[in-house]
Amino acid sequence: MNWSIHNIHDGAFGMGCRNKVADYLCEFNARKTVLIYDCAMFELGYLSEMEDIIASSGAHCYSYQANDEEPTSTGVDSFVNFCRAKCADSIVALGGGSTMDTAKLAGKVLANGGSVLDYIDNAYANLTVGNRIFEPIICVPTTAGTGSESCWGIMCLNETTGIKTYTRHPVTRAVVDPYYCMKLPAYITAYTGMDALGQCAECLVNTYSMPNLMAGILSREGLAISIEYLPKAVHNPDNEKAREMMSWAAMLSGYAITLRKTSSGHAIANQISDNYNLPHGVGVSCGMAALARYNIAGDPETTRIWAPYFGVELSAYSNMQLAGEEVLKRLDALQKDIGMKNMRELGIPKDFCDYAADMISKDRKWTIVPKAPDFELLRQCLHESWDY
Amino acid sequence: MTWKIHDLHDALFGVDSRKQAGEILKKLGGTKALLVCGPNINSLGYPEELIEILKDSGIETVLYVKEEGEPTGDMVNKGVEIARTKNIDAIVGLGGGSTMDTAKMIGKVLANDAKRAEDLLGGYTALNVGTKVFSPVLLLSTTAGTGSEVSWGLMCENTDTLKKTFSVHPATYAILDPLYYTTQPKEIIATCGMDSLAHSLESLCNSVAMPHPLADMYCREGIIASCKALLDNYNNPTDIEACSQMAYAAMIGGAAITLRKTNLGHAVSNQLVDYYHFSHGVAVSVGLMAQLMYNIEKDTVSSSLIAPCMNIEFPKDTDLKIVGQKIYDKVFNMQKIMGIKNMKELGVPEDFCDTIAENVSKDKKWAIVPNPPDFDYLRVVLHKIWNA
Repeated sequence: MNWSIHNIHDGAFGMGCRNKVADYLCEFNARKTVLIYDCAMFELGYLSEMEDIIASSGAHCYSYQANDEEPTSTGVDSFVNFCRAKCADSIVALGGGSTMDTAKLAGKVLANGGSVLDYIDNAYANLTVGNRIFEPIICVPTTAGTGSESCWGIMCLNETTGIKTYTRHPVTRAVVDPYYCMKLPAYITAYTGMDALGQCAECLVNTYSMPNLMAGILSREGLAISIEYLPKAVHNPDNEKAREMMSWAAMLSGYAITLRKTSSGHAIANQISDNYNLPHGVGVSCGMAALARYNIAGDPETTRIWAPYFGVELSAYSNMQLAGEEVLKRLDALQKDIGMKNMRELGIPKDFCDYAADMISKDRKWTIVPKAPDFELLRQCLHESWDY
Repeated sequence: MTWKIHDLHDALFGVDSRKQAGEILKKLGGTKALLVCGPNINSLGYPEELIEILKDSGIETVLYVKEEGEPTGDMVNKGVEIARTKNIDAIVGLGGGSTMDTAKMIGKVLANDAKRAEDLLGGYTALNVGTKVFSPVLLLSTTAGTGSEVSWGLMCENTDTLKKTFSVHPATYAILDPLYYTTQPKEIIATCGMDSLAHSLESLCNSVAMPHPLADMYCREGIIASCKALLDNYNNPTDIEACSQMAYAAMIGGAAITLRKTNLGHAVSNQLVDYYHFSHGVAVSVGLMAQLMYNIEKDTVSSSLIAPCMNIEFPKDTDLKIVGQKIYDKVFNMQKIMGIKNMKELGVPEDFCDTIAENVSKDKKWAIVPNPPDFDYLRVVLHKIWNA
């Protein structure tokens, strides 16, 4: 069993640690920092505070409002042009996964030249193109989350092909201050939290096909924390501990999927995002509903791994199928409890399930994830989960 | 609660992973490497093979076989002289903790342009002296272990004070090839394995004083992995799977203590090394028993954290002193099975227990570990375990 650790980079975590951004910029002698931020940061006052933090490092701060959507090739190119015009020597990203992915992809283009399409043209087959690294990129997440602050992976819509495409560029430092999540509305808390949960759960699906002991412990820890604290964070938004733990779970999930990828849950999520423009976490939630159904008959190994985290005592069940059904019941209950919607409630027609299964069977992800699902069974599970 | 993540750098783990050393070092920019090893490893032929592997990637190698024993300033200075004379641009450490610590310290001296290692061995209160980093430092560990291959910490005797002194310098990349571990003598497996367990366990004892969820995670995993694999590895020294599991346990322990330090166990062991020049693992084995005996009465919280990792169950209202005793008994039995000696058997006079306690109370470690023990009670404990 051979496996690798891709560096779990430096970071700071905890209430109030956002001031570390200045320390990290000083560490890299940053002089011209571009700050890319989500639009909500302005309304909440987080933008001006971060501008002050950056200024306190001695760097000049150039602020750039991120597009209010998932990264696109033209959107990221616009940001790259802004960075080039300002001669940026550092980037700070303050926002959710889309903003952080934009920062990372811009860093890749800045370090290697050209434009975004040079690096997302051929999806997983293009990962070795553009290996130079831009630094520092400091990611400050404001959701919990994609874990993009601790993950080298990036998703960006290739507008010439219409396909959301994967590439990589590492973050230099993560600054995870749960303060930013305290005012997140319940719905956003729920679906971003489902992304953290889903990343950990799906990373565990690949336990035996892509052995990586470090990925194993990160994803197990993240799954346990997500299951316990996500409902608390949704229902008690002022619960600092719950917010802190969900931020930690998201960070763990980002580290985990850097080392070992997600599974069919995210493949489903990408189809939903590509076709219905729904937030990534909403798609992941649907993906998890289908995946848990799939595991019952299709992947008892994963049921065995997931079960303890959902409070399912395996010894109480005469076979893994029954245990899988109990895991599903608890996952469905958790999702309902936090207000997640099924595909029907989201307005997705049922025949999309067939389309999604067909597209997933062609997903290039399976060139690097050697545990492709039984696509026919997945189609059935998509139908079963459509109106769960 | 705020805490920092110090990066866990890239690593490659698995059978034959050593064969990638050349390509890895080349990617990291190395062209001429100082290869540091000890006489025992040299006699096994591993350096010759590694020199060929590096040569195949176009990397020239200069061999430095350091003296047997724990690192000293003299050993480091000799290596530095060779490195400067031969204009090396990379360092490779092939061996156990002593070799890897020597390699890291050589890097520190070179990067900071120091005259001698002693200039940078001021101890815990002088860690901000000499912060430049030499890269690349590629470490291939052959014992399981100190975890030095992933830990930025190192211990080196300051030749001026004759004290074993803590310093820091990171490695760039670690390779853990279980093949190297199959030739460990049983005594080394036993004592190095105890070091691995002690790292994780002692770091967990600082859980309340130095909160750090990532360190906690590594500690729990390290205790579980060490307890699962150590006796198996001892009884089956050439079994690759057993070697792999202990290598992993040691690595995790190294990752843990990078994030959060050890406790009184290692403070005790350093006294034994300073005065009696025992190997680190032999001394840590004694220190670990002191830690566990101490915890029974004085640190029941740590006992409650450690016990689940050792499959020691306890109902809610259990007297935690009983739990602490069970932990002590379990490790004691492991040590006896593996023939590990107590202080009396090592020829340490009983009155040295008083010297240890006295010196531990003055250890500068407590300047950075806000969890010093009750030194009077430590004295009592040391006497209790002297001939346990």
